[in-house]
Amino acid sequence: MSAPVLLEGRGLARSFRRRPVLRGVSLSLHVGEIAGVVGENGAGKTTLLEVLAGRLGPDAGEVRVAGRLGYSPQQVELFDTLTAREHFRLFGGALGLAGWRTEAERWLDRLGFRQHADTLAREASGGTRQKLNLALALLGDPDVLLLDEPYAAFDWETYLVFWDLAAELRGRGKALLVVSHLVHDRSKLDVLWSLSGGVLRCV
Amino acid sequence: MRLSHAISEMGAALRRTSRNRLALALVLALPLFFFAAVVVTTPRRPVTVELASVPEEEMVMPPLIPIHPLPRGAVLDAPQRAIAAVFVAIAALGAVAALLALDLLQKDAAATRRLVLCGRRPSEIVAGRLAALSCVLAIATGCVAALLPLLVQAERLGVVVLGLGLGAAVHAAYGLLVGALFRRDLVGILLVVLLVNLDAGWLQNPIYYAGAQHRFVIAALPAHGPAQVAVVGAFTDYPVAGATLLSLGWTVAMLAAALVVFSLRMRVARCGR
Repeated sequence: MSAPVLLEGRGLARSFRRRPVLRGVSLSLHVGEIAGVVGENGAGKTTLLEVLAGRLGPDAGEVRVAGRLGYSPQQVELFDTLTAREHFRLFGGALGLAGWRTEAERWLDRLGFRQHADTLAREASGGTRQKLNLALALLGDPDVLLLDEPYAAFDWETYLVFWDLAAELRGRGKALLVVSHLVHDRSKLDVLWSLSGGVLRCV
Repeated sequence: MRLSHAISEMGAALRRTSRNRLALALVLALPLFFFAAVVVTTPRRPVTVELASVPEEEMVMPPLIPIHPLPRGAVLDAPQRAIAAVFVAIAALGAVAALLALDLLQKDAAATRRLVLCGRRPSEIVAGRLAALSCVLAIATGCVAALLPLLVQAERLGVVVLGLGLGAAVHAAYGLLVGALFRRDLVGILLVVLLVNLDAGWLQNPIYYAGAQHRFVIAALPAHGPAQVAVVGAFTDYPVAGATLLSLGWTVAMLAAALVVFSLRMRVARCGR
């Protein structure tokens, strides 16, 4: 018997100015599963994640989520004039997390950017900004994580930390969908899909 | 709307604004610059102007020079520099308010959207940022009100300050609306500068108004109410209730429109569970 489904997309279609980007994409993510999506630039990977995350409404199809969803966008989305700690406070408040401080400390240590906790986002390096971008998606221990190229600006050490973390989350029954370009990520994935011509295929 | 969420948003907005050096410089520099321009360019000689919001039968004194077309509101004689200082104060505060509001809603829009995905409601965001903006604008209004007596011996300084506050409120609401409508900051800045220049900085000038045609157009603009409250308060003891209500009406209408547009922009697609 397969594990319960945490995220399901059925027949998802989305066009931009009559240009179809997704053509009836269906997928499901199960408990304790790490799935990857690969595809050429402009294939629609980001659109797919945005539709799954609820940022974009699909033209057709539906998304069903069991539990809470965390989303890390491809472009770092932060408030330029807030520090990392202030981001945790703000987003923790939005999520209704009473223990946001404890979580913030944990992610600052785990992802290795404690020394930049009080640096304004606009003054932080690209890597630090991406770490914060990812940490905000992890806040509140979401059941499903949608990660759009989450480690493009990471150094090698943080890249390894990321995959350790992903494995740990999988062990705790979370489901992860990771958009990736890197071939050697494949060994870390349970499922790999390729998005091409608006259609998702299992690789 | 959850109060704790609005307060959290207000705190973040205050921090963001306090770190925006350009915005803070504008708050201080713009009124000073406008007042300096008045001092340098405007003479002290008395001029006759019409008070649009005071009825003709309430005429203060006969005009020194004939006004064409004939005025429909009461007229008064006052030093040109004093009149210019009052309406320029509204224009300067209006520009500051609209630009700060625009910045708060338009800048980092993607991060704001992310916040909504995490559960923050658009109404909480608008309420919190508006509260933060009100604090900053209260300080800016205080600074302008402190400078104004150097140029105007106001009949009722309290009413003038009310007019300044209303001017800040109307333009802050306009800035929020523009920020909700347009993603590109250049478009937003252009629209703010255009309106403030045309409306508060030109058409509401009582000296211009006295000779203007199709005055209903001028009276229908957002800065009309605040400008009337400030000018009437500065030079007469006539009531300003009508102009105050007009200002509040504009403020509420534009805030409501901003909230609707912002909520639509931030809408999250519904997922099944």
